Amino acid sequence: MRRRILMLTLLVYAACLFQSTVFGYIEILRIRPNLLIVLAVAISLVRENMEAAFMGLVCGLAMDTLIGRALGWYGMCLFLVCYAIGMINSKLYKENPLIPVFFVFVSSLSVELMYYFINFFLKGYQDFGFVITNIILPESLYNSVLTLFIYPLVLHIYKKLDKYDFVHARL
Amino acid sequence: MRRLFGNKLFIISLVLVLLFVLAAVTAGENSKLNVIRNVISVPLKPLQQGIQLIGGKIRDTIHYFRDIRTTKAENAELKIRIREMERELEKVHRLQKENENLKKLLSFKEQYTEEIIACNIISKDAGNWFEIFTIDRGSKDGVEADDPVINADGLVGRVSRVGLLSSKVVSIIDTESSVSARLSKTRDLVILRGDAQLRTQGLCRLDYITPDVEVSVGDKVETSGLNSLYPKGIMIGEIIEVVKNEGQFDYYAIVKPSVDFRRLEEVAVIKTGGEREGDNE
Repeated sequence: MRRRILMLTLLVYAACLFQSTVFGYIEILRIRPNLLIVLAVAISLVRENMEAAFMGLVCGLAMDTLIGRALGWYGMCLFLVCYAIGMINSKLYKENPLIPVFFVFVSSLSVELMYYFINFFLKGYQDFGFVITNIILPESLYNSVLTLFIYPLVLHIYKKLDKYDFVHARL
Repeated sequence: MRRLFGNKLFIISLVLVLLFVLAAVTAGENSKLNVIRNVISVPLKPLQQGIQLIGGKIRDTIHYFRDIRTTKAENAELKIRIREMERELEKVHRLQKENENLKKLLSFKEQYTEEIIACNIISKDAGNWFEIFTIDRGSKDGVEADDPVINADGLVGRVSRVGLLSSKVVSIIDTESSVSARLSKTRDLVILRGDAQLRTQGLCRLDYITPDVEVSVGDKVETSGLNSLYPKGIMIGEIIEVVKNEGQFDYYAIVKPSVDFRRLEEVAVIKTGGEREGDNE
């Protein structure tokens, strides 16, 4: 268990590091993907609902810290989305590589929409069309592409962790 | 109690309530709870700095050969300009001396005792929503919230949140930013704000220009010094378009900041904290 927490903490820190630095160099049309959303959704596809929700919460709060405004909005959006995914993931046929891509696309869309509504729409910014076409949609597409690399990585890490726990539980 | 915590709905609502409280408390920029940001920002800072350094090195290597070609022509041109400027500088020195003497005569108080902290940018905005970047100095180096940030070209923004080793800077093109500004030519007061659409092109807008104010393309905009956040007379940018709406009383203009936000690397924080403390006493 301790090893698991350490590993996941490192994973979140690494994601933060990449999100804040390296991703600045791979921006397309001034849009960068959101690695922490991808990570949270990938984790919630392999874990059960409560664990998924809390990993979503951690990733979201990390993203809030990176952005540097009020803490909690990304945390809340990702918490809810990851809980929902964690509830239905046992019914999914996960061998299909398009399933995580689809889920990341839909969750990026909903998380960013929620974030927009909380942080901009309620404050009276009415440029909904512009935001959808220029920020939310491109970012969701970019996130989906990123999933092709992140999801296998997360799957691999969790398999290793499960194997380790299994071996040590028997000893 | 045990059963209550076994209930998922209860846990979810509890987390949501806690998150709302957290968001409400940390929304203020001087909130004490902002300390918890250090959990992420402190361990990341040296790594971010390293990556930024390596990235810069790689970019320099790529640009090296292209730069060499342009350098020669530029060098010749610059030499001529230096000669011209030296001549002007002499004149400026003379005027400065004269100005100092005159100010002494009037016992004119400088608005700011400028102490400057040079900073490197270690990470640009992590998401796509804001124009907030991270600099490599924090409260340990004396940076405080609301300190103005400039670079050689003009006004960059202000410090919004201070961590132990790094802090966040909100650029003037961010949607939440507003600066009390002045038109350099006519000395009219205007308000410069970030715009959700213009910010993606690195521009911002001048709002609430009343019809009696004469604005034309090419006018320079500088800080007014009136809201005491930014010192007076810092260059902001140049008006590139004036937009007049039919049937509306006031109109707005689009400003191109003199700072190039896409290629920003080094900035300087002006320390104003000391003076403000002095005011309180």
